[in-house]
Amino acid sequence: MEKQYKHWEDVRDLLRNWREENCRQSEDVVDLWNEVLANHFGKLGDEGWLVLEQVFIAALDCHNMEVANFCLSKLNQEFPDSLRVKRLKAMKYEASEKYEHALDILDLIIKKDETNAASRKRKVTIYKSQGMIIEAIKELTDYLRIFMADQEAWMELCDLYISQQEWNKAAFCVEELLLHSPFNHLYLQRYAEIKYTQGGYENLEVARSYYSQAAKLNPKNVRALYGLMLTSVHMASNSKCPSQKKKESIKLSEWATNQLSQLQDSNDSKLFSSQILEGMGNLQIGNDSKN
Amino acid sequence: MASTCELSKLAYSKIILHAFKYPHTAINGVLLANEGSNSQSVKYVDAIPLFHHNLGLAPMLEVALMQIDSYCRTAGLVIAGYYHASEAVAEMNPDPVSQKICEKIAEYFPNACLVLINNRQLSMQMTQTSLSVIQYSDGKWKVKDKENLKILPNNEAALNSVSTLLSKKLYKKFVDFDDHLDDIHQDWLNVSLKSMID
Repeated sequence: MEKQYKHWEDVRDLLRNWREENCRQSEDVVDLWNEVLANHFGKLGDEGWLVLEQVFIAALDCHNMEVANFCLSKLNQEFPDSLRVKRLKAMKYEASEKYEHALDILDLIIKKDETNAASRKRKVTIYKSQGMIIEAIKELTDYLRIFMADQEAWMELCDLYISQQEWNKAAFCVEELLLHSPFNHLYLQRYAEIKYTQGGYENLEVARSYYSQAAKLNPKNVRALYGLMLTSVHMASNSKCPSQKKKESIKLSEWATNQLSQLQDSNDSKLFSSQILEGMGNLQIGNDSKN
Repeated sequence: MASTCELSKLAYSKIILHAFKYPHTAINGVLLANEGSNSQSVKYVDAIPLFHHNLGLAPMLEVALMQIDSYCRTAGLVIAGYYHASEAVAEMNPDPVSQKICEKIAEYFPNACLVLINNRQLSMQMTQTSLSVIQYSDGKWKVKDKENLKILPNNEAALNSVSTLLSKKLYKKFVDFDDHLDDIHQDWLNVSLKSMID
């Protein structure tokens, strides 16, 4: 937070932006609240309740229970029967690691309102916080059977499967995301990364084609460019690769290297591209990519 | 005499700054030692932060390790260890990904150490090193005793120094490899921070 915000209206607008973009700037939110907005709360009108919710969650993130309690009590005063405020209470228990209490409240909310998606997702995070990944996966897959269009949930499930090294299932999650947004270069790149990590020549080919598509959609996607370079070089040096594909791979890897140099846009050799090509063989971490 | 694992103030500070920059995700990075040092006692002189997203995916890890390896050759260093902080606050065991990566590092540097951050001991005012070390020697993982982990010049001075860095919120300017991949102009060597740490 370099800029000093003197006017409460600027702070209000900034917090609104962060709410809309779903940014996790918890430390800054709490600081801005304490320094500026707390004194002007009355002027915020109805937006004030959204701000209180935002500051509450940010305060929990920073484990600043004083601010969190203040926000929650104000919200509770105004909306005593609200399920949304009840969910915030559950989050407070979650932050204090009182998971049983949190789960009780969430189950109550879900019983009253079966369509309450946010509460179901909080259950997943409670399992995740305790390191109970298998249970979190089960809860999330049950959730997705009902709320199939929730992209955030598919992405989260993909991350959970990656942490369990279940590559096929993780790839399936990204496939669902690609059905929703086939031109999202980030999903394409993620799919390529999973395929590459799975290993094997066929997966390498698939990874290369997805990296190519990602780089085509966004030539500034550094991960896609590096991935393209990596997969092309591995394919070219693989005995299974027919010579026409080898030539194609070498061209692709040259294109990717050029794009990266242009993005880097300086003479200092941080890219070490020639050394990278040299070192390719030694540092294979993925499974059987060469065979 | 038991072998020791020493961390320079720079390496230790970087590990803690990385953890503070991304408190809500798992983070990992590699530890560098001087070339030619491969006794059972290891001294880490620097740390390079790697990722805070999807630590289990291979392609960017391979790219990062290649670049770090190239840098090491110019600086007379070698990749000799690995550090990791788990996403869940209570998790104190190394996950399969960390073990795999560290075993790979141990292929080139025997006696590589896996440094785990103890999330619960972290605070703005650091009073404990908050690290635990497992060393990979002779094909087995052995937990190191607390007395055999030293931060240079001495634990207290290092902790005070890191606490000062944290109070100045220097972790906001810290760059890991993921940040570099998001914006290629960001310096994963953190050269500008180095002078502030020393």
